Amino acid sequence: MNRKSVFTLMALFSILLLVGCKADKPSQNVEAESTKGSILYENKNYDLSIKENADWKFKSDADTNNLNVILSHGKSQAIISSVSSDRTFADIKQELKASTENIEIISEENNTLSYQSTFEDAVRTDVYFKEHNKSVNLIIIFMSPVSAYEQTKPNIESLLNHIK
Amino acid sequence: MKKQLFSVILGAGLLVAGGQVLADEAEEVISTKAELYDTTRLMEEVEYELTVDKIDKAILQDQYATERLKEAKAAIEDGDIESIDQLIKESQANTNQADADLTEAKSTDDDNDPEEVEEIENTLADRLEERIEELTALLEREDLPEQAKINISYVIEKLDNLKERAEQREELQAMLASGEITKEEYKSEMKKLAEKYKEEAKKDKEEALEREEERKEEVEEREEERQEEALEREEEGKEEAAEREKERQEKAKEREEEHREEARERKEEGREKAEEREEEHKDDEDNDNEEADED
Repeated sequence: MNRKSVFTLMALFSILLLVGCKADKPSQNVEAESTKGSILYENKNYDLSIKENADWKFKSDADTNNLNVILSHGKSQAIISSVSSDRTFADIKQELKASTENIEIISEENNTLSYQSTFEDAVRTDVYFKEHNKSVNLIIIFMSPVSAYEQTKPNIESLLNHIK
Repeated sequence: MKKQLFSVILGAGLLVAGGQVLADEAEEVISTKAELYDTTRLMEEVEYELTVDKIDKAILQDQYATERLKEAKAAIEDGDIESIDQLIKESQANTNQADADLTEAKSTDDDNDPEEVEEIENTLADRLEERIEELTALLEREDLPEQAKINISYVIEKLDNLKERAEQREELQAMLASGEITKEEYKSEMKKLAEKYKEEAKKDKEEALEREEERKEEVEEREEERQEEALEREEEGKEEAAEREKERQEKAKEREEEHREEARERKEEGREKAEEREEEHKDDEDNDNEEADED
């Protein structure tokens, strides 16, 4: 075998190696995507997608005029509701407060409202306001027994970050 | 376990429980047409589900019963007659459930102070009485349809029957106090009552849900009919407009034909007259020529 043939063979072998490595990349990307997590809930009418996270489970999707999806996690539940985009959070807070009795406010910020019932084994409610699209915004309502709230906090953060 | 008692008097009351206090906004009520009304109802369900203590559950159901009645009264003011029946039935179902929860608390809860439980029971009984009075007052309203009044009367009757339950519980308590029955027998009998009341409450709730489904379907059907009628009227309007346009065009065409015909006739007459004049002129010329020849 002369030098030219050897050189050609080596070049071919190198090319094959390169192609082989490159061919791995797309499948690595696909695997990476598949490990990003599947969808927990999706609603195309509201352009809403929630990825699986922190073991939140889908509980129900109520047949109501606005969007009302309920997720559960242990002793906590989350209600994700739609509101018209022309409404302020101040408005929304007023409506929520008018609907309930015997509560004490824990905190009230620009985009959050927290309160709890006055029972000894109180239930805590945390409301988050999230801008969504031109037509609707979202309010995400977390409810849990006060005794379970500290354990719930990381799951609240997680869910808020996985709502698109 | 110390219970937080809630306001007895409807429309008033302030609860102080540390931190920021929210005045009891019993006079404020969210309209059933409000965007977040369904959301707030779901929040009630979740709160009830997450509440463990039976007495607390009874108090919550009692609050919901009062809320539904306030919403029913607001619906009457708004002229939303359709929602009234539904809300009043739901109020009755909530009252029923409150009573079932209370009975269950008495059959199982050893943690609660019996005196406190009795105080709560009396408070719930007072609030029930107030709701019955409010419902009775609604029957006097002239702006309420007859069917709504019939339904309210039916609900008042059912709520009155709840008083019998209180009597049954009192009877068992008296038997326990006198030693006629043991504590275990008392709890067993109370549990049977609780189960029975829970079944009745469940049936009430299912009936209320069925009625709500029917109401929604009726509303949807009426809306569909309204849209179909509007569409039909629109179609008819278009057809009539098209016919009128067709008639107008035909008439215009006829008038045009008539004008053309008249023009043709006038032209024909003109031509005939011209021919006649030419004839006459020719005759005159012939006569002149003849005379000239004779001369």
